[in-house]
Amino acid sequence: MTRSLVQLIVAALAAGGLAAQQPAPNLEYSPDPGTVVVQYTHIHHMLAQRDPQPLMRIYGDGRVRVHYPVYSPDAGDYELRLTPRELRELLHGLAGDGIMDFDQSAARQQRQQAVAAERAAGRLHYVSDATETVIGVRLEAYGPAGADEAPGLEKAVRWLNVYTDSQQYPDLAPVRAIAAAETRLRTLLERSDLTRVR
Amino acid sequence: MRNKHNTAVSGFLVVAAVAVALIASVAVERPAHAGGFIFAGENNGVDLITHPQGYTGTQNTLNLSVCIDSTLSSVPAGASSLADLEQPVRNMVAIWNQLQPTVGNTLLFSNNNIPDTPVLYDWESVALHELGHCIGLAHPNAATESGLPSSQSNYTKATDGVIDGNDNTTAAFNLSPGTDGVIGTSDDVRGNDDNLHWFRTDTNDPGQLPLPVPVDASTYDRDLSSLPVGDNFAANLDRAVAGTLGYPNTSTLRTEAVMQQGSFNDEDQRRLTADGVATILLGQSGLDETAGTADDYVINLSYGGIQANPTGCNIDIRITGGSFAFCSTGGFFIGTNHVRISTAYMQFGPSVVTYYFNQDGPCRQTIDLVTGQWKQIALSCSPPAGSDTVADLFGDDLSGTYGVNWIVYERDAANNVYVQLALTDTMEVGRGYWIKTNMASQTVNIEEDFNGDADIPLEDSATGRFNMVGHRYWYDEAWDDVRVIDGASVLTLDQADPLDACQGMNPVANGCIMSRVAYKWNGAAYESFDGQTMGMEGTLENFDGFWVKAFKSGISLRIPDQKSMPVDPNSELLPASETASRAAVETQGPGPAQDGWYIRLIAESGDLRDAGNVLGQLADSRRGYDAHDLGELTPFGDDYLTVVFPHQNWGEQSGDYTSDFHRLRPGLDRWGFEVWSSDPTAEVTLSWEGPRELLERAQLRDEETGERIRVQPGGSYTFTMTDIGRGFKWVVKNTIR
Repeated sequence: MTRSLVQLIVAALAAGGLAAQQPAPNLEYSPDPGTVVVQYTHIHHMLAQRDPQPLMRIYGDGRVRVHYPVYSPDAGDYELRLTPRELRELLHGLAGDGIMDFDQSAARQQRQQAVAAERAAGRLHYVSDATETVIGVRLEAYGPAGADEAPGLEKAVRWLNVYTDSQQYPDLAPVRAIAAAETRLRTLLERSDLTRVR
Repeated sequence: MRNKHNTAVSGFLVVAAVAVALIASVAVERPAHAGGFIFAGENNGVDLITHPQGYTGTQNTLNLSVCIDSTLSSVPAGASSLADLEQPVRNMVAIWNQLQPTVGNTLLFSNNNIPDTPVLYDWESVALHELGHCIGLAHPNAATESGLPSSQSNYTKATDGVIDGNDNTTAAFNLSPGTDGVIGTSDDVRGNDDNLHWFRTDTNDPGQLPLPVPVDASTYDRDLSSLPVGDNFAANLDRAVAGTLGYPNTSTLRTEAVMQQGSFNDEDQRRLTADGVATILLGQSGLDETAGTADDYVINLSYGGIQANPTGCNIDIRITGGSFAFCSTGGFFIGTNHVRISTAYMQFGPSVVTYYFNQDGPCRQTIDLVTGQWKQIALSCSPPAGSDTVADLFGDDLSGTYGVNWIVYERDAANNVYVQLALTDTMEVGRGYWIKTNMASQTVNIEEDFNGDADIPLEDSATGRFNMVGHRYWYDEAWDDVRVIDGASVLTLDQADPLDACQGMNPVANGCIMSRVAYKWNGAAYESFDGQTMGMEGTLENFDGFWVKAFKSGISLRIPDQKSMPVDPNSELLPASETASRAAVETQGPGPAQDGWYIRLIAESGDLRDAGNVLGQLADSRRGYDAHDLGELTPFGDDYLTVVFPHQNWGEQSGDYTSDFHRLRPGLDRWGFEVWSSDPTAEVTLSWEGPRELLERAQLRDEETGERIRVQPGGSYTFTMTDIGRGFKWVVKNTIR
């Protein structure tokens, strides 16, 4: 498969989610139309028979494929196309949200500490039947701005109950990161140019 | 009820499984909660019991309202407005209030009222599950919060057994389905996994009915050392496990705990099983975990309506967000191993799935009518006001013309006459009715609200007045549980019919108020029952009409809602040990009980079947008439098949009996009985049930042919009637002293 790499030079104005004083990272993705660059889905644990297809896949050529399962009111497959600039902005946005640098293990520990602190204060919290948010990113290169070398990145971030955690632990950085990224991705589902293809 | 086509499920699952290539095996953040009760687990305590909002240890009733929050809600897919959610909410509130366990609670495909297309999830079923969480129940199964894959999520709820601050370090779970190969059963091998599922200690059967009395920490435990001998782990009521336990398990009818995680499309799971009810009752035994003490409580849910920014509601329903369904709860400790919920709300994503919103009431009755047979019926569900006429209730179900093809009668007890109802006449809960159709394949459905527990007034006379009354509830109730209301007095059957006073010559003078004996037409013969005589205890079932005989004016019959029944183990309710003893007899135990035994005779011919006939021996029986000999009423209608024990030499008690008990005595003993058939040429099969030891020592003698039939367990004798009656002798060589 032919794969030309697109070097993305950091431009602060292009990275909407980045803090102004923080230089945008160096990231590259494959423009290959068969390569999934970003993937986003929900896993509803209460559903006994779940459609394994992810909700959203964004390919290297900017094609966004949205799949709603047959049990969804919007059942079917939909597509839209992002321009290279839009895709770059999206990736930088996700990077700014913290997805590329997300440390799952550390995030879990942070949450456990938060839960323990609540428990120590006499407050317990329980959420049944989780919905699991999964955000995946595949990059050819990812590294700090100005770095000579940036290795490839395959990142999958998974989190249970983003909605309730956002309310329960609003200051927890990992929760904020995923919630922000999810909001960013969900804007694509609302776009008027999302067209049903099947 | 809507007709449906039986359609194969879920073609949608045959979807190309696109590799989730980007999603590596990264550890998932998991909540540190699990158990039969939410909050129970490694961090908070494995023995923890969670109570609903408001419980402090002193209340008798916890009043909790459930509201739909219109401010935070949008209209979910499948609904035309939020109003579509109201009936399902009323239903699930009623179900959790009623706490009535059943089996076969899961109706699939053609067996429910959910349309086949599009793919629909029953919101009421999903919400019933979430409401269970909101009042303290957790999943009985490991579920996805365990971190286990779905193929292993039906193992019974447990911690991983390693105290590391995380209940769900999946690598540490010990998982083997045992020799039966079925996950979640009692032979699972779980190593050091610490069980979180409270199980009944006598059987470890999560679907077993009736529940033990009482339900508390004396009959349920979490500690595996209390398991029955031979069991390895607590069983949970997953549908596959239920199948192995003998509960309904077909393609359209299954049994599964409502709190089991996992909803399927086209699935009606709107009723509770033993597991969910028992867990609530266990919680209701309070901080001391002992039923019948001052810290007990009951949960009284109510529907608070659709409200903007609800205030004063305990459990809000929100239709928002991207999650399928969940309940979010907060809580705090109120004692060692006891937590009280402080906040709770349910949330459902409006567009994750398309829902079906059931608009039928929670109470459902369905009964098949046999062509040409009278059926004694009652309304075990309340029809809505204005929709309670004969035409309303049956006109949409029964074919043909009223008065020609089908007909309904009631008994005017005041005037002691039958009255044919007009199509416009109303029908009442608590009354009994006769119904008959001459059309084939006729089924009656009533789906409305549960009945309340109003008393049924009775007409009387000094010699006894028969009243045709009706069972008020959709679930079975033991006849012995009914009460007779006499002014301010609430009487047991013993008190209303002391020392068999109602069978004597001067019943009222002897203190008779209402006969303890009730009569129910089974389509072929009357069955008699008195609540106490072995084999003749009697059960009121869904849709049952029946006869009672009243002797005193102003009295009423009370069929108590089981929820309000006492749980005092010293009350008149059967202790668990006695229940088990009776159950052993019913299931043909290995030998006769010390205090007596009985054999049931069953006559069958075509659609007619009479199984209400019992002979036996009891320690307190006499050779002549005694209180355990229950009379049989003359058959109703033209078609009948019945077994009677004729005793024309019993003086004032002479007549036909449906049970015949003797005093225990050794030697050869005989019972004479007759089979009566409205068809004098009918082929009749006579079969028997009873303790093996006694059946093997018994002989049946056909007095018409002189034939002597050797009796064996599971055996039968088929003969052709040559007249409307035929005599038999049952002979037993009795060695019991």
